Amino acid sequence: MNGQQINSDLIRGLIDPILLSVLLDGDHYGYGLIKEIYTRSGDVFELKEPTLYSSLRRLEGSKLVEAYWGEETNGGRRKYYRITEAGREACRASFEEWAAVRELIDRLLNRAKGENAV
Amino acid sequence: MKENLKRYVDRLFAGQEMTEELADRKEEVLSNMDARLEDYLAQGLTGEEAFRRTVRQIDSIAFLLPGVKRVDRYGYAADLAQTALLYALLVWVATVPSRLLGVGLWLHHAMLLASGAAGAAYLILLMLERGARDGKGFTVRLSLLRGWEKKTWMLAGLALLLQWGMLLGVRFGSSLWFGRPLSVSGPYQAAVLGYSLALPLACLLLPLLVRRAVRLADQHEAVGE
Repeated sequence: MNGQQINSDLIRGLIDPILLSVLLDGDHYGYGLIKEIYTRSGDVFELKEPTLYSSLRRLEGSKLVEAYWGEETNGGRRKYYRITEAGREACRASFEEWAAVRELIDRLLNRAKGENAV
Repeated sequence: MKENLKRYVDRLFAGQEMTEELADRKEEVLSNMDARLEDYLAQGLTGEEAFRRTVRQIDSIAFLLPGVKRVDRYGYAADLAQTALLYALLVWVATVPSRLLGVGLWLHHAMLLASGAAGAAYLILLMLERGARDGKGFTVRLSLLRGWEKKTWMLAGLALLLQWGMLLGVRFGSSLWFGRPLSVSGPYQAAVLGYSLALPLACLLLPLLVRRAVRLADQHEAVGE
């Protein structure tokens, strides 16, 4: 439980890139995105619907994704999201940013661990 | 079950002015809930349980409206209480000279009380946060808070000007009111005067606290479980 809370705090600022990178592999509708993220996280992280919507609104607002309505099914129409060229660009930038941060944090945390061990 | 879901979503959106955009979002919310319901049913949940879990996801559509943020409530409130505690302690420490100078003692005491209250609130909220990770959200109306921020800034500014005006008016208009010019006869009196002038600055902490409430809403935005 506690571990997941730590997850939430660290993930908070990265929801937008996470959604973008899922959309990189294909269009999705809202609940499909939640499912996909849940699966990719190894069944530990379930994005909340309110967070999903506010993130999608943000991405749509900055033209990183675009929405379109899918065909009518027996559950009604579904709204799909597609990543735009600007979105791909932003996603790439996020990858690089994250790689740099990860390397930095790894280095810092490893050093701390090493000193504790001594 | 689908009818129930439709009714639930209708109730969520009741009382809202149905703009085209909101109608669009409503349809999206309903279709996603429907997909979730189907998924739960496919996983073998009973209809009742599936419905309960589905609607638990969204208990308010405040987050779909502009200027509103959903935060995890205990964490948010605890951080806010912590800030209040910090501010109150700051003023309390800064007003320690009141005991010697005899000016602003009430503020000094009030801040001790405020620190106690904020500290107690902080501890209680912290315990609640530990105990109940229920993921229940709390809706922060950012637009409302921003309005308050503006109002409290104006109020604090006004209070500050008024206080200074009165203080300086009494001191430096001394020859007008009392027929005798002001005399700051030594460093002690200068210190007292400077100190009395600095005291009203404490009221600036109120708008700063409201501002912090806006900032914290970003940090505590509920993301997932």
